[in-house]
Amino acid sequence: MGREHRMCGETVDVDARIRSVLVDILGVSRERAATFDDDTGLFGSLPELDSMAVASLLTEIEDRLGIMIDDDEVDGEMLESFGSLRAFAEAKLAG
Amino acid sequence: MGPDYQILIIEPLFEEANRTRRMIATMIRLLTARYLSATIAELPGTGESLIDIADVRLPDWQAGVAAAIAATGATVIASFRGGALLDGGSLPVWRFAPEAGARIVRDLRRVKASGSSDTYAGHALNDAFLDELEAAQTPSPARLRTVRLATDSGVADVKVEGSPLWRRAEPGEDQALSEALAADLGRWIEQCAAS
Repeated sequence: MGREHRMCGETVDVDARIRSVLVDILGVSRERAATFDDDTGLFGSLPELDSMAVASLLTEIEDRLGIMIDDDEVDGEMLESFGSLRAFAEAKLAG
Repeated sequence: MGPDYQILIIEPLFEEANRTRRMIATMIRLLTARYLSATIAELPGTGESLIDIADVRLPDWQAGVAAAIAATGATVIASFRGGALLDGGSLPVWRFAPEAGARIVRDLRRVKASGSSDTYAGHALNDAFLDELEAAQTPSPARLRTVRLATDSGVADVKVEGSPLWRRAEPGEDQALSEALAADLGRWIEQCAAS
């Protein structure tokens, strides 16, 4: 599931890492996170993801993927769905 | 006979301290069962302190830690996250998930930008203090052990399984993590920090 990326010579499963961040940061159960697909809504749809939680979510994704996210890259579209968030992270790792 | 070692705990900074309070309380209980006594340092402007956080600068926090060491007779420091910025000195230091000042400040600014308040997650911090925190370097004590989560790519002496409770919106508990941390800290103090 999802494309694989290499980081420090290590293959990174972006999809799995983002799911685990949602579990660890938002307190979403592992079972529920496993059911998320590309169209599953995040910001505005997931009550656990309020504006305070957005900051923690982004920082933890930065840490686990070794990327830096500029605040002007963060908008409603990027956080709209699980698919858009994963696509953003994949583009960051590729770029 | 009292405990042989007196641990001074420097908690994570700001909101992260609330989110890790249960984790640290559980650790203290487990350490006490090993006859290790631990006290949490209360920083100026936090907890029961009479000082307004809006007036606090970094040297106030450094002086607060020095005063807590003197008052408790601490023989070892256990610091968490941004608390590592304050753990410099001659005592042995055990750290969990230390974080750089620049990243702490970046997080604070991000929370402020995402909310409607002009405080930093409820803390009215002055600009000079934020600049000091941002520039603060993590000290390099002579005797140091660093523990991080397995998901953390940073350098560590040992990595433990667990979740980053300091980023959880709803304060959580991770009993296994508290147990692993208390065991590592206890063992390290008994074996290595003793001098």
